[in-house]
Amino acid sequence: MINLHTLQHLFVDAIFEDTEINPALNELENYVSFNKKLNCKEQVNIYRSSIFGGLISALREIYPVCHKLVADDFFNFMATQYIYLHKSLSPDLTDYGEHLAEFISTFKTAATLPYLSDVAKLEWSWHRAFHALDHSGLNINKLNKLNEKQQNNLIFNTPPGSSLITSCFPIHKIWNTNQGDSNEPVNLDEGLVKLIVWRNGYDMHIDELLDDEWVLLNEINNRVSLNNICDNNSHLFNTETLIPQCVKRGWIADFSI
Amino acid sequence: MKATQLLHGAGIGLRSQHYQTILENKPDVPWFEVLTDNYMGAGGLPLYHLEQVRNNYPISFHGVGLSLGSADPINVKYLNKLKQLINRYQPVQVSDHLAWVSINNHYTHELLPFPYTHEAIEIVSNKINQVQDFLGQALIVENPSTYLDFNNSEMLEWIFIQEIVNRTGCELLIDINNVYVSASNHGFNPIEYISNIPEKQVKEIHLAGYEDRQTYLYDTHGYRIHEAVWNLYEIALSYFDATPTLIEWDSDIPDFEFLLNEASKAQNYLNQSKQQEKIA
Repeated sequence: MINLHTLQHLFVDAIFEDTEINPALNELENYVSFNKKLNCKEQVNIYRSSIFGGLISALREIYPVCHKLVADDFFNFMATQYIYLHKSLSPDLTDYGEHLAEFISTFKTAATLPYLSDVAKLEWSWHRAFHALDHSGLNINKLNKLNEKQQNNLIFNTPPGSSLITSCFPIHKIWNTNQGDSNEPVNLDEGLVKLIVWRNGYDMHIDELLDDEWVLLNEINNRVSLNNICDNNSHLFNTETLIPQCVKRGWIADFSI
Repeated sequence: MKATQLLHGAGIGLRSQHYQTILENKPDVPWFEVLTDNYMGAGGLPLYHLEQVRNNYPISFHGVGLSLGSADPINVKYLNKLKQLINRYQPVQVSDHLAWVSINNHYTHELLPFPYTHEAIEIVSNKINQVQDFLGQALIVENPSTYLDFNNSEMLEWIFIQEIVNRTGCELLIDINNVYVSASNHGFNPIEYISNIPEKQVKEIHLAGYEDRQTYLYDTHGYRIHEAVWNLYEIALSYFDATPTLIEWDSDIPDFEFLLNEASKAQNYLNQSKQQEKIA
């Protein structure tokens, strides 16, 4: 008799096989009875529709702007192809969909929308920050108590779950114009944008960064110590003014020594 | 709170669409059921809302991620996270399903059926025992709605349930809609099913609406509770007494008022059941 592990493996293979030739489904037929009015394939299809429906719906929730940009049919088709290629590896459904931006960049059917992949990147960043650990901002008193050596070696942190992203398209404006019923036109030729997506309390933010802010925050995310940030970038910016500026904006949220 | 509090009456499934109504109006609902898997994130607004609801109402936890029917071992990371949530929010009770959602670490996020075999009894019982030992409390296990018959099943679903109760002492959540849907799909008598459930273990009842798809009934949780399910509920209460009952709705979620009306209807059945208990 088939054991449970083999049967369940077969079941999942039958569900996620994307071609008409489905050897797993053929084998599964040996273990499924004709159920009143439904044969094995029809019974398995009930679960397939439900699984794909659930995963597509999860992706739609994480990527509402991408969904709006391409509408139902295209999004469902694209999501279905993504699901065939990318398994969900976590019991937490909010972990699913991380690679959609990467997938879209190679998805030929979406080639006419060159900004779609970067919009997906922005939406995943939003989703990540939305569910990230809460934080209370930089503790200045604690920072002031550090001695000079500790201050030089300290490593700053950007807010938990925040992301630094660049795009050749004004994706923050595309995102913004697709909130609610706004129809504000977006000029796609504005050039490179540098953004930080982060959460302050329960308020989500997408902020555009200047070149020096971008360099500083990238150094911080690469866990470069304060001393080395100063040494590496003295030709680009003055840390004594730039760091307090970034702290004030909320982009530097913590430090470790 | 967890040790002394019990759920009473007809509760409602907590859905994000209703946070504002619940927190602003504080409706008269005896308890809310929380879909645990929606609160697995590290922080943010969902956990804040859950905290606010918890400050005002008793809650129960209901999940799908334990994958009790899977041949895979328990996902320890998930179990740890569940325990953290329990410690933080102190639900009155915790439930999951007699189903599997994953194999070889591939998560389908759908409650899938498995054959009721002696091997499955071993696997499911061991996992329930592991969960109960780790959490330090009884796990409540819900009967599934199913659309597929395995020809290698060695026993009926209710016999399987009796067996896992005997081996683990787990408690039960009987979803009346699921009983009705599965009975219709597989051709068994729903009353026979209910009459064979170890009634002392039943700590919660679910009510929901199914969709009639001509060749089978489908448990969408997106429809009004059907009259046949209310009738079966009334019969179930004669076996399980006035067990706390939940109105469950997951798709095309209606206004909160609508759910309140469904809960009020369930409460009337519970009140009648209590009166009959007194007479008896």
